[in-house]
Amino acid sequence: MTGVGLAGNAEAQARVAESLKAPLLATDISIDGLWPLSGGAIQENWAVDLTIQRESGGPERLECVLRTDSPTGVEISLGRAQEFELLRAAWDLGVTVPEPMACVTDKSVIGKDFCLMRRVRGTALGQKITRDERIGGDRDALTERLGRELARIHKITPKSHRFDFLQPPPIDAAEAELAAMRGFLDKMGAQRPVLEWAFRWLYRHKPAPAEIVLAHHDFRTGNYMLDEAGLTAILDWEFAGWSDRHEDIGWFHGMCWRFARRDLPAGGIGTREAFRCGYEAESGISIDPRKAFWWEVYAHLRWAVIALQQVNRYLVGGERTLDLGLTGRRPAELELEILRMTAPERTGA
Amino acid sequence: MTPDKPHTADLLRAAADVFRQELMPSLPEEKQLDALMILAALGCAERDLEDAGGLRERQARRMERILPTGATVGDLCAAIRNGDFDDPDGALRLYETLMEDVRDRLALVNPDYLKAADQISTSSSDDARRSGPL
Repeated sequence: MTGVGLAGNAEAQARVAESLKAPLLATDISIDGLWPLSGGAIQENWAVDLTIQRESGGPERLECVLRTDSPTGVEISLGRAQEFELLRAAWDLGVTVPEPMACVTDKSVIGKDFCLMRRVRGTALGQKITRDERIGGDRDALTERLGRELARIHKITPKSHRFDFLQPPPIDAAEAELAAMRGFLDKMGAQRPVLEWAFRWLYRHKPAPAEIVLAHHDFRTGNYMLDEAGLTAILDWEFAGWSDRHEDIGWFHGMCWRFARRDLPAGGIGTREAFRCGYEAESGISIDPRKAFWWEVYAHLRWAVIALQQVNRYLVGGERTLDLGLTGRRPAELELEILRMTAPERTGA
Repeated sequence: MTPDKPHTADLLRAAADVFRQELMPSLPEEKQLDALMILAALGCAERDLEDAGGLRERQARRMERILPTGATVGDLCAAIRNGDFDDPDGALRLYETLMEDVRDRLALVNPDYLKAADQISTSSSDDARRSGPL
């Protein structure tokens, strides 16, 4: 999916402006500024400043982000239109997300789907957030807030919402996740003994099936934005899907997302207790620490599999960026964490 | 006959020093991440050269500790998957071998990570398994 380049392309920009008229209820739209933002590996993000004119009232200036797919994505991620639908559901439940404003699926505009969200200020960089405690206000409050936000996301269930583009809700989320990862690993032909160890451990300790909720599937430091005062947005919804609530909880606490602060288990910013307090207060549901631990082990397996997929984009897909290439050195770190978490009991010890 | 000196790893170290101390400070902020990635790649190259293929030999010896001579990594994966190491003794032997190998690889690709992991493990107050092993 390559589509049309937007930078300096006046015709494409005019088509974008035209396509946004209906969803923004505007009679006229001009694009005053457009520049690329450093985005994820999976999508392209553009900052775009618009002036819109409605039937009544004066011109309104909107600061937005236009989000679209990058040349090659990871195969398990959602498209932009689908991500937009989830964002809207989260927005409606009061989750702190960038306000979803428009989604354009007419391919004649830029050759691929794109959506428009209100631009949110702040930084999401995990290294920066975990090193500089001045960002994001009081850290205990922030950690608790993130617990609340996740609990709000988990209020979206197969009973309350229907998303036809998602895989059907699994009966046994742990089983389904393991099978998916197994499939990805086997498809790549990857031979990683430590990941086999992880699979074995996870299968042998698999928790019983529990209630299924909407899992964000990438809820972690690096994917939320902070300003000086606190949280401004939960980002990156492209991996969302039905799962056990403990999957997101385990992912958030994974060592792989603590960046500079290995000693702070809640995303490198706070304690497990603070996060749990927020989550349980908002949801009225207790976190099962044993289940959360299982999913925390799983988190490292999953990130290792995703990292290997990203490396394949470098090795096989021809995307020879240093960033993707170095991702090939990441699985060893994840394997160390997996082993540290799954040490066998020493007999006689 | 001997190879010329300095050793290539030594040259890489000198190149990385120039890059870090003299070039990086003059790069704009948005290029710092690229610069750090270049340093990471140079570091990997330097340590690989110093190791001179030793990793492969050590890995071959490790394999022989847990599987018959001539077994491949694919065989090891299949055996783990098959549950051949599920018994407590087998699991412990496999675990120790895997841990040794991961640490060996990490020492080459990211020794700082290994160091940080070891530091926190001795002073960690993390309570992931507080409720006991599953």
